[in-house]
Amino acid sequence: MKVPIKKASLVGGAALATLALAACTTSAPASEGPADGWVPEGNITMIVPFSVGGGSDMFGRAVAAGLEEVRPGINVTVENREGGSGTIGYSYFLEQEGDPHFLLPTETGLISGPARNSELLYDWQTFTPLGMLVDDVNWIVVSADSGWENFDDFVEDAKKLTADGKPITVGLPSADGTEAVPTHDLLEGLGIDVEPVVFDGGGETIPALLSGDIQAMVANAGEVAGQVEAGEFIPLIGYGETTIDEGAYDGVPTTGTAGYDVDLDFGQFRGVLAPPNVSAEAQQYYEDALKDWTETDSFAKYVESAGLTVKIRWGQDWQDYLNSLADEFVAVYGE
Amino acid sequence: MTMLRLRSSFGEIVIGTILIAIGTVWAVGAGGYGLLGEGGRLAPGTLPFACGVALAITGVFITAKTLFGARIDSDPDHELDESEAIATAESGAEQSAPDLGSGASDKTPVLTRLSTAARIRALPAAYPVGTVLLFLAVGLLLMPLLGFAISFALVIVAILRFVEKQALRTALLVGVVTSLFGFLLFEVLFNLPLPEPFFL
Amino acid sequence: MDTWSLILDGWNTAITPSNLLFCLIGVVVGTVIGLLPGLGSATGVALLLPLTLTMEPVTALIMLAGIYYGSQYGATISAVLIGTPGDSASLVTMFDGYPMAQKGRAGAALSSAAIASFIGGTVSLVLLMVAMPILSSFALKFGPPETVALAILAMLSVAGFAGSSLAKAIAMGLLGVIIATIGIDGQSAIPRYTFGQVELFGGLGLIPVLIGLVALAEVLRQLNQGEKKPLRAGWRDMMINKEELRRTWKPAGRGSLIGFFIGILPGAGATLASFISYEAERRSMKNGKKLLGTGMIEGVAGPESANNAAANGAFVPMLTLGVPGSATTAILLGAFMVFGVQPGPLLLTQEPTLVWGLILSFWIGNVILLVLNLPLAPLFAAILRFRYIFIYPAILLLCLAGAFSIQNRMWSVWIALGFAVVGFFMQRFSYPVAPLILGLVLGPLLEKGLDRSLAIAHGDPSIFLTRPISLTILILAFALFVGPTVLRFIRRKAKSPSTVDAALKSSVLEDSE
Repeated sequence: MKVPIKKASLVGGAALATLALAACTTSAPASEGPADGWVPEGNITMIVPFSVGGGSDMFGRAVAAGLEEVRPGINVTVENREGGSGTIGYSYFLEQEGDPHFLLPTETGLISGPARNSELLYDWQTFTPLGMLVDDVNWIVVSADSGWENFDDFVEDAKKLTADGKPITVGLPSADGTEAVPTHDLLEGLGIDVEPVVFDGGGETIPALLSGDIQAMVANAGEVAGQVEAGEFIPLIGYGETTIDEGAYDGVPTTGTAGYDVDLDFGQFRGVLAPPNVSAEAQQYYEDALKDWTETDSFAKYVESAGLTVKIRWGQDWQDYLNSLADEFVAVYGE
Repeated sequence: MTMLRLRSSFGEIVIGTILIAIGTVWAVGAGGYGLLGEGGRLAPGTLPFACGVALAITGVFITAKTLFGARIDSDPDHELDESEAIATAESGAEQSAPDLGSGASDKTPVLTRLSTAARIRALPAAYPVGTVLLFLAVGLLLMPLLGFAISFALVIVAILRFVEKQALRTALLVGVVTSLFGFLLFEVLFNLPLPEPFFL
Repeated sequence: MDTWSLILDGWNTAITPSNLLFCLIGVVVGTVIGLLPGLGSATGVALLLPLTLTMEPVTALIMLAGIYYGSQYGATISAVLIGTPGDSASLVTMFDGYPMAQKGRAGAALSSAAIASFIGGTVSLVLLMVAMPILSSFALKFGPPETVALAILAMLSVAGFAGSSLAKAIAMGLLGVIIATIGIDGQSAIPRYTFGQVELFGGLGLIPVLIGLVALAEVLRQLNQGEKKPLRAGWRDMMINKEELRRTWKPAGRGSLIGFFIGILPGAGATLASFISYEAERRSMKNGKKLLGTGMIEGVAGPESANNAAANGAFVPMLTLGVPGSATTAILLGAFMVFGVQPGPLLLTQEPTLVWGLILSFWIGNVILLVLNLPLAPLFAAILRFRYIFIYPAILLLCLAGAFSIQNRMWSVWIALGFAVVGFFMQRFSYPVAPLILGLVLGPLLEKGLDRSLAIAHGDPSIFLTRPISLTILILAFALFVGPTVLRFIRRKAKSPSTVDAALKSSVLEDSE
């Protein structure tokens, strides 16, 4: 079977680690749900719209294990319905309208997919948002052999190369706007010509950067953790508001801290959706359960091993955030 | 033999035309995706356009060869090729004429001698391929209604009873055993996804 | 010598009775999963990974290795016995394995496959241990232009499947590429040829097409031919004989090397390796052009060893770079993280015992597979003693359920059924299936490679000729396929018809004349 390898396979184990942890702590103290509210009957199905091992899959599995951990007695099974950059899975999820026994680990594709393809029968407002939990920041990464030690070095050389008529080749893990748009916006804004090279996930991009076929790549921290730790790759700048002050990322600027005004300079948000028209009680049940999970050790461990940033947003707060992202996408795609 | 040859070349021409049509649709459709990328790069339409044009040309070639060629490819004595290598069940056995849809010339006389009811009853065995496909399609449509196990068992019973002319008892037995085997393998042993619901 | 003591360490921990037992369980379970069309080693490993989480790391890895190799072999069993290849890699084994089974040599085909797998596994693991650091730099030199060159080389091998009509083989190859363009394009993120249907956004999918085109179409063909007698072979006939054993070694050796080096290249894969190995056998055999595909044991042994060696080659990028070389290695990388290991360039220096333990347990998996399947092969082959009417209901079940379980949707089952009709007519009118599958597999590889290469070169197509490996492969492709045709054309003009015939026999490309 040829399963297309989506991005972030490297951190595949994070979710499984949480799974293992959850399996070990069957007697974990768990806060009970509201006494008279909605409780799930039977099995809950987590629809992952991407293949096994990708970032979405790991998040989905981590959430599934987390929910089972904080609500003993419930059973969450994960189903992968990959294909069409996630659209197949979302479309199937749409068909589960009104059934709170289905969940979906969502990401920026929820906004960018419908913004690009008008044929899709859903957009971000169609589904019931439960909560956003983490942010997966994208970084511009270069090889240590390049001699570029920070973003300023890179910009200086890249400008010279552009002047010589040589655009900078930048590897992107997908053709989705989330990586391409801010990269173009930031670098072209600085007077650098960008030649994008689109790959299928970080796994294919890493060898290209190592061999020097491309000069830089855009990746999230989990994807290049091994290379960064070995000192082979150097992160130059992140797309986002705040910095991560840990390990190799300590002191590395982000577009926000460096004061660049860049379109779509956010990473992948990761949150959980329920199908359309789910009762408010069920929504509340999951929101409480997710809240409980974010306070556990297994959540902290997942976030750390996958190189994520905790960004928790519930209810209206998340809606507003999604709305602002959608506005940015619409502004970029011009419709 | 001449009859077979005629029918064969008719089929060849139909397939050739289908290939031309697919190639044309792809080549024309590629225009909407951009044929050439910026600065010597590939556009989403480049490869589909090239392949579409090439397929259409190949289709024209195949059709023209059938129409005007001295020899057609489905001659029984032609060289062994891949699809028939797979088919070497009895190597050298000629591919016999009846196939799905087209009026199987050697069976029709038998059928016309029978009464209408008998003729209908004889149909499944005369056109096994078409019948099996039909049964399978009906079975798939019934799955959301009857569940995987029952609709699949029904399909098998129908095939064995009407196409293979087995005793009802044999048909039922094989149908149930096969469905049960599927249940054990997919549901019990590996918990793999199967069309829902499994039973009613 | 330090390395050797580490290897010995790994060996000692790997070879406890309980570990061997778990490996055995893994092989059996994997074989059963592999038997199901559409479910390959990636699914098998993913499915059983959670079970291994509570075990010791070495035990878990050994069991996973068993599942990995078991499921690959399982796919071979169903391809040979019932003409139902579970994935595109085992399709090639089917080209000769299935005709062998029809002639009553199923046991021999399966035994030869088991032996060839074992050789492929052993050769590749030895290479892996000896030359890992060198290989990783080789893997890095293999970028997008080289992938394009290799895809072109493999594409040209459709000529070998041409049979009576080269035009038909070319048409099917093009059709395969065309079918592969349906769905959201990975390079531009726009949907192509979806005609507004959201179901088509994900494409038709290789496996449902394969199941329909090959497995279901074969059932239809058998139906059309009418009932035939089940095989009446005795036990002795089910075993591999000396002559067949002798013919297994060389193809398996060639296949091992081809498979391993293609497997190293990230993303190139076992399918490509098995097709190229098949082409190599076609050229190595006397009269290979005519005989291969009629049930020659060389056509089973070569691709089968290539397939297995490629699977091991995929571990080079995984162990040295921390990037998955195949879908299964991607899942195994996940398993590493469960055991607290960070895959990446430091893995070999930080966790030598684990790496050697892993490699050795893979070899143990290969040994158990061989020991288990040599005696079992005749037993499996005994399935063919049943009448076909009792076998094909099970084939239908496996095909439909297998098609469904890949993406969890009825849509895939309908695709399989639709392509069963296509496949039936293709057989009827002598359109070869292999080029279509090859096009389906290679089309996306070619398109992505072209796009990336041209991007890297800023639109300059000379990149394919200025990089040494790419140039070498292209020259090879030209020498093997294009050259002989041109040469023959020139000769034909110059020489009399009788010598043309001789030239035809010796050359590979025969056109439809």
